[in-house]
Amino acid sequence: MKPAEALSAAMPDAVEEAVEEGTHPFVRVKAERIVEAARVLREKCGAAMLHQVSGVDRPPDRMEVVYHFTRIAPDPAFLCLKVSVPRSDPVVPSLANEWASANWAERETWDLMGIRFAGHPHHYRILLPEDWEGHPLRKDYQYPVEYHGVDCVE
Amino acid sequence: MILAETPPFSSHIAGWLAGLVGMEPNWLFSAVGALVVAAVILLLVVTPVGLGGVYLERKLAGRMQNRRGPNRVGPYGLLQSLADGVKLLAKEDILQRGADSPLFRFAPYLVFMAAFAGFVVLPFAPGLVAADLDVGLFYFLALIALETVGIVMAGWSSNNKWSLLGAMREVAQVVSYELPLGLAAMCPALAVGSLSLVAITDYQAGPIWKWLLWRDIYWAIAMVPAFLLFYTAGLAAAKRAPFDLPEAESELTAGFHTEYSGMRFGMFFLPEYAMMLSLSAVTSVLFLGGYHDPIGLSAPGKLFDGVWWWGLLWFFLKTTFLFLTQIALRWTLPRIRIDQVMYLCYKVLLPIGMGSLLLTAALRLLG
Amino acid sequence: MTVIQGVKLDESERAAPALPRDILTEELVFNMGPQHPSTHGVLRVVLRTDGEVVHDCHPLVGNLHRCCEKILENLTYVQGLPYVDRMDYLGALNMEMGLVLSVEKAAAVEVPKRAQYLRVIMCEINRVISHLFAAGQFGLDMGAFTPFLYMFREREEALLLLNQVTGGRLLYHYIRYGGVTRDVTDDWLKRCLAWCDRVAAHMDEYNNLLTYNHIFLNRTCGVAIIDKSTALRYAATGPILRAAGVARDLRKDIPYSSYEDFDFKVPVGPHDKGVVGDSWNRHRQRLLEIEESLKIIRQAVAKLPSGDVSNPKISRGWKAPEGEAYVASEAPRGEISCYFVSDGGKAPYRARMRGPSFQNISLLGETSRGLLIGDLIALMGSIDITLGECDR
Repeated sequence: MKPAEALSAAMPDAVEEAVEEGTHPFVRVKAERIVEAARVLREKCGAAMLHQVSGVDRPPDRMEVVYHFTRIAPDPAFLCLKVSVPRSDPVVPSLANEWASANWAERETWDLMGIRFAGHPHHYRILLPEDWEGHPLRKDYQYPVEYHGVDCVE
Repeated sequence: MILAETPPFSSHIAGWLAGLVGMEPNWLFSAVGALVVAAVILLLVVTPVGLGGVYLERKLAGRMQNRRGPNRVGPYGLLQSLADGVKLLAKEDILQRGADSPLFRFAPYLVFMAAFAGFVVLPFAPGLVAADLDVGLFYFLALIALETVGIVMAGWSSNNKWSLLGAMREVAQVVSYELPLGLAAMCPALAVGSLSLVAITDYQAGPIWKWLLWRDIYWAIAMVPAFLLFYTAGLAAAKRAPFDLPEAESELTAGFHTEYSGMRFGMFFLPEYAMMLSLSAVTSVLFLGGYHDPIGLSAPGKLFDGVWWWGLLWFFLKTTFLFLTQIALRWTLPRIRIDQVMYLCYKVLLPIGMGSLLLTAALRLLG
Repeated sequence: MTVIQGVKLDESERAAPALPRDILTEELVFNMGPQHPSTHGVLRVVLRTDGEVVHDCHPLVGNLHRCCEKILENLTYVQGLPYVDRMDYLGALNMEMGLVLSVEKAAAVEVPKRAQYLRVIMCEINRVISHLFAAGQFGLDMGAFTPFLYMFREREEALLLLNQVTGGRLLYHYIRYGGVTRDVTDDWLKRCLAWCDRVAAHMDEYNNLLTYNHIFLNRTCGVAIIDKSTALRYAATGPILRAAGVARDLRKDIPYSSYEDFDFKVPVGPHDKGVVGDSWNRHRQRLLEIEESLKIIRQAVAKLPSGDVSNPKISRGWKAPEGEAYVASEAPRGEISCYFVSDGGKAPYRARMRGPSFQNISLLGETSRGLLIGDLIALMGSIDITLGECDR
């Protein structure tokens, strides 16, 4: 079953946008319903793996988290869910308790983009050092001048 | 003193020293003479042979691995070991903060002493043995245990958990494998009726069918397992692959000698090759006839009886053959995990050893 | 008490005795630090062990983080391509495909047939040498020093072949938007086929020396099992997933770059020894995949069509129009993908690269409980991780 159909049938009030044609079909759902939506994808559309979690910065006022699930058999495909949160306070419920691969992927999104994941069991930075300030992949990121005495400006 | 009889070289030296001072040669001069012979053996024979063993291993390993091995330093890379020795001497002597300094410093020397002291009882040729101890074989096995103490000291005093893990593994492995080693060594000792390595060698005087390994079909059934057991347990006692867990490079970086650099590391490195050599030598003495040639020309009354260079040649040929086998095994086989090493020792090799010993005892009883 | 990435590095907890009357022991907190012969890169693993038995394992990544995604957003499309090579430096051509396929799908760029076949040939050669490296490295971790060098003999010849076409031995910059940079000669194709024959002839040697060696079997059969559900939960893809019994290969399932034109099997565990999903099966999986890749190379060389090797519309200052795409492809270590978003500017708006090792390493924590340290080495070696694509 296509994700747009499954989600409109199971939780029609949570679907904000559904694009089925083009190079990248996706369904945008409300942020607080993402865990339920992922469950619908697993049960109705056969999503077996959470392949990737990406954060996209959409200044001036939104940020997106894009989840790509994959169905293995039959009819292998990638299924995409998007979630949009306000940029001033980006919080999304965490999928890490149900999808183990979300654990590290969400940590990376927090680390580089600054989107918090409520309910994540181990919400720490993963790629950058613990004492790094800021979230580099944001579009308004200011590069640091120095880090522990090392000059960061060319 | 438990010197069985003073070998000719050391007695000559004792006599010459006594003549210098103007006294009769008594036990003091004999002891000094023996010490001088031992020192000469160690310096002139063992150290170059140890260095040469390193070179041989690297060349052979290279050829087995489709590459050449060292060939830059000196013709055919012959001076590579020397260059490595010079490099180790020139390195900074690092002593860690937090390391237990006296133990840290002493451990390499203990290992070095234990490995090199084993050469004292080896009969290189007729009359060419530093000290013909009545209990030579027992002394040799005891030295392996002494080396363990040095390694545990090194692992503990390094203040490094990986070294500690390597040292613990090493203790477990070497101490456990002393059991099959000892049992296997008892078989030729029982057959000959003596623990003296010279006596065991003399028992095998004659052609190749006089070797203890295969005197006749019944002895072969007892001795061939003992020979394989001694060789395998010797590999484990020398920490050579496939039993090289204590210094497993890919797991523990360098195991118990991770924190050692420079000549302190050299003090661990060289005894490893010395141990390999001495174990090969003892195996050849116990089972393969020692310094006797396969044709029988060094038997009493024959052409080369008592000729020292003939015996030395054959001693080194046999030892080198076993040494090369150790090298080939190292570069062919993967490493065995520590619990599998223990399983092998206690559940496979120990029963085989006991069986061999029982069979040897039975054969000895029946004549 | 030190805390790193939320992991406490203290030994205040005592190990619970296994049996009621066992000796009470203390736990050791080990650091398999960033510099370690077995961690295949700068992976730091904090182990909490009771002697040799691992109770807990925390992989700490990020030591090779080079901000690739931010750099891709700041450089033009063509300028950013070399950075992608360096992510999975052992399978660089496959990593290039990851980015290039997404951009081409979003921008609807046509790739000539000859270029697609050349991409297939190069990527499969890259896959073979990456698997040879991984299998040899696994042997090295297990203490078998020699098979590593034998496998490098074949790898060396392949690096020469790749060097002659792309100009690089490890990092190629060969696959560009719309095609590849350079064509191959007939002589090169002949030599490539000769190399394929040599690799196929040596597979027996590798199997006899390493794969079916008794000690190696003891070390790896039944050890560190990653079963199907664990692999799927942690999104572990590639040989790990296939050795666990899932028949998933993107070259067959969602073909890209003309892979549907070729006839090849997808080896799936269990294989003839060991248990499905154990270290031996993963090792054997890679060796079987080498043989399948050689088949693909031979077919591609035989059927290579004539034509352009690049799309003439793509120039140096090319910009992708607005759009987004998500394309995944099969790299030696798993599935790589790129979520690419463009806003019409001179640089990608967002190029989110997925390196398979990121998810593959994350299952170390759960899978390593109860293993001996030697088994942990078998686990890490058989997963075949590259920190470059994990940390990007």
